[in-house]
Amino acid sequence: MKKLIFYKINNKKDINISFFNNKYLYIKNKIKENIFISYKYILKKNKYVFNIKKKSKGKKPIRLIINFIYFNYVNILINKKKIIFIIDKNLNITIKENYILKDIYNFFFNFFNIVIIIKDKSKVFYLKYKNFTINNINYYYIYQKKNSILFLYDVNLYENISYNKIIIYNIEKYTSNYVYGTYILNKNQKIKNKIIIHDYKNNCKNIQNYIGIYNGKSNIYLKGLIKLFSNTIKNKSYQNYKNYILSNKVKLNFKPYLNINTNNVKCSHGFNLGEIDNNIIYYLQTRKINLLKAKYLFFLSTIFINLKIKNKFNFIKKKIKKKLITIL
Amino acid sequence: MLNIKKLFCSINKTLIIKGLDLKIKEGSIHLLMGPNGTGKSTLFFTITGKPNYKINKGNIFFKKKKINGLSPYEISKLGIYLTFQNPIEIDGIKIIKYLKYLRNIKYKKIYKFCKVLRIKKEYLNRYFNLGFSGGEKKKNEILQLLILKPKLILLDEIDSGLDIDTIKIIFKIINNYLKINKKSSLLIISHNTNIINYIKPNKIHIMHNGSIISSNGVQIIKKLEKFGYNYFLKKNN
Ligand SMILES: Nc1ncnc2c1ncn2[C@@H]1O[C@H](COP(=O)(O)OP(=O)(O)O)[C@@H](O)[C@H]1O
Ligand SMILES: [Mg+2]
Repeated sequence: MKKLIFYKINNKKDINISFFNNKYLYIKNKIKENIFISYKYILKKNKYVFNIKKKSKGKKPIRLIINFIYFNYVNILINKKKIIFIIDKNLNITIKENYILKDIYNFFFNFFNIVIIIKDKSKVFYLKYKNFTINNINYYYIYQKKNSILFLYDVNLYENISYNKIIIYNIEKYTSNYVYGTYILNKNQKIKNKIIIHDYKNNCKNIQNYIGIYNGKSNIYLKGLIKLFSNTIKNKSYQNYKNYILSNKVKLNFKPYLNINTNNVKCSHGFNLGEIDNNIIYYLQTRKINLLKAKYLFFLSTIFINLKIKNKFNFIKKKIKKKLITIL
Repeated sequence: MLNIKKLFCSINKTLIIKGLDLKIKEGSIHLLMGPNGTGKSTLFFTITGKPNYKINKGNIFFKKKKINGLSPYEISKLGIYLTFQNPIEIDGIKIIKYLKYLRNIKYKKIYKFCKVLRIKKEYLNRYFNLGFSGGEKKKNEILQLLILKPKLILLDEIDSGLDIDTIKIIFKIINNYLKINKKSSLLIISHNTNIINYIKPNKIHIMHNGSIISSNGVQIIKKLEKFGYNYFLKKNN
């Protein structure tokens, strides 16, 4: 392993897993007072398995940063990787994807398979966000065990071409998951997003709230599938997509599917074209706030409602503000 | 300061304001009263340029400048400020962040305003009007007034549904504001005749069916209390 020089990411408290140029792996703070990470690398498949385990009692939250660091990429155009996290029982973990790039070509393609297995009573916050214009194919496979909770923040501001698949398997009962999506797209940004929920057991709760603001020639394809197997009772699944289209060149395609093989469940698909609330705009204008700023505040409000749950990822609000200004 | 001449205004092709005249001088206080649904709020929305409020005829002048046709933003920039009868809610946006959009004002000053309004500092960290009581919403309207420093203040039923202490606080602030800003004027809509205990209007206008049917001094309040609006209707016919 080469010596790692430009390593000045994130604060000391966090656990850092860093991938350098698709070859080297480096883990910082592998052992914390109440946690430790072991890992396996299967070279042939370019597959990494991380086992996050508890060392002592207590539910102290842990922050885990996965860093993807690329520089001077010339010969490899597709970066393919499979990363598996096995999260032990009773943990409270925040996982953030972090990207650092240098001299990367536009036609570079990222292809990740991320698998997260959340064991009993564990809580996971996951932030999926890329701060650059690059092409991505990302598959997320999430397996939830009894009483586990997942919060997944799917923020898409700058990706060029993005193909997302989020598949959640509720393999045991009393699981809950919340997916909060924020898409602000313009120019020729192209997004294909699929969310697939599988409920195998009873009393599972799945909520997906997506807000999209689209301008330019952006092209969006959304697909939501809820699949409930026969012994699922008292399950709740809600998919809610709110879309604001600011240009007539935007292409938006939505396909909801319900596949329910049981009774006594609550499921809904909500897809609507959002409209700017003119009463809010007028109110703000009577306060010396001009039309552009009023619209900006209105959209900020609709997005922030969706990101309100805990101030975990406050930095993302700044990024959202920055992007929002450019598209109004 | 404000001069409304033969104003006709409609919403969705329904005529609401029907030939209304109103003149407000610099540094004066006017009270606007009238039965529910006569168009008082509509008048305020029209003055402030609300979209879909169509002026069919007549003109509105502010400081000799014609303002009909201007956007709400342009009108507010001229110094007209309206407090809403039912202020809106903006979820996800904290008051303190919002206030910074109004004007680049120092926190110290905001805290000072909060103190006179008897608002706790924590109030500023709540989302804009979300889950606020009626009184808290109205205080938020006054807080913005203090920050924006308008020349013409339009208060739409600021005193409706408020407890006596809140009413006293709000009018103390308004009176104080008018005392400091001698050229500023106030036009206030209210249903309460006892409002004259808190503010001293130069004129009281009675509005009915889209126009002003009577304009008098404070003495008219006694007649109104005794006979109701019928008194003015009969007199007008
Ligand atoms: N958006 C609207 N569309 C149609 N009619 C309206 C609208 N808003 C108000 N009106 C009507 O205009 C009239 C005056 O309303 P308003 O100005 O609110 O009365 P006031 O404030 O004097 O109680 C009422 O008859 C009301 O129903
Ligand atoms: Mg009214």
